[in-house]
Amino acid sequence: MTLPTTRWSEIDAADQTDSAMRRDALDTLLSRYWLPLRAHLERKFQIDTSHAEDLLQSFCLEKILQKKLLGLADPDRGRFRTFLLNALDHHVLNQYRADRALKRRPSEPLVSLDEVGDVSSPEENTQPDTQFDLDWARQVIQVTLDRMRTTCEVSGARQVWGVFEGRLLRNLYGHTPPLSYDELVEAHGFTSAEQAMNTLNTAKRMFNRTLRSIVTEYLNAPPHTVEEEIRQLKDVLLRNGGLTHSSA
Amino acid sequence: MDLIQANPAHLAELIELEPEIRRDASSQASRDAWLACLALPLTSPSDVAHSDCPHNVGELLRHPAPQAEWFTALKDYAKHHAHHPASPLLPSAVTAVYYVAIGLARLRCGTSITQLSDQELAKGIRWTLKQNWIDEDLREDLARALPNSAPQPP
Repeated sequence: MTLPTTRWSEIDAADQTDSAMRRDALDTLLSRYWLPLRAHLERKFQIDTSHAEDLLQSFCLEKILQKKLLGLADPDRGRFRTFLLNALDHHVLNQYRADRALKRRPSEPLVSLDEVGDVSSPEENTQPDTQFDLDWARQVIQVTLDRMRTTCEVSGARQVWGVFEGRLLRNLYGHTPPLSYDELVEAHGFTSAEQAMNTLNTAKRMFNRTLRSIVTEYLNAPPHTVEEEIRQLKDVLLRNGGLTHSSA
Repeated sequence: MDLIQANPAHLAELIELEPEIRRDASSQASRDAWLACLALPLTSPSDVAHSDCPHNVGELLRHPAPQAEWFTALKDYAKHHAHHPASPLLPSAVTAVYYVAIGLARLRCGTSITQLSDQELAKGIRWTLKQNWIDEDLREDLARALPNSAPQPP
């Protein structure tokens, strides 16, 4: 008789793969949240995906790796996401202005620089970008779910993920009803509906513990700041209940 | 899973804020986690008759003729989960599983499966007995397994 096998090393490896392959944790952060940042550039500067990726890559190399920009982020000065976004906008405008000075017109954005307007310094502008915040919140949930699923799989707790997926995740798209508790009992071999409910509660707690870990990784801030960020992420999602994904 | 088309309001429902988390830290959460531990499936080797082996942890704890190695496997499982930050199981529940496994091996198999001193074991079992989410039958068995009670033959 054996219990579910726990492969802790795989959990650790899943968490550390990025940092092992890249030069530092900040680069990992940018990789993880690449999609919302790229969508923001496409939207704001009206450029194509390839151009946005080039700009984002140069931002990573120049601002993050060389100047350690994120070390300047101060939780008391405003939201981390706003700071990061302003820094990115600054970088892009500086790139365009340098190109224009060199008369390299083909690389300019479709939208004029005047139209984009002046961009505040990372410390100054705390105005939210709703679509970016929504994309970011969505990506945080995605990363959280990916890690939770991996953890469940390698720790032998597939039931926990199965119940969470069947009861809560099936409903995310609004057109597939959640599994009933009786269906969960049959699918996962529980002895009663109460057992399935208890496992669902365990899964919810696991999701929220994992979410706090993920947010702590990018904020690198004390628990009350992490909690405030999570409250903001939830607010963004609730406020935009009717919106779908961003379109550039 | 791709969340691009997911409804943001549904995503928001997954998130519980701090007051809700605090409420979750109550004994009800521990009870839920304990019951989830009892539901953990067990795998039997192919050379053992299917009906002889328990199918989950709950059945193991109630098994009429358990084997000491079953409790050893359960104790080791609980020990690993209690100390790993990535474990999906609440520490309070797996700590109880740990002491229950040691206590029942002592009571039902007449075997010690731990290197804990009697004093340390008694402390752990007494802590487990104080948890109101442990059911009464198990509580009675565990009380009989306290080190000041003589181990009983299987």
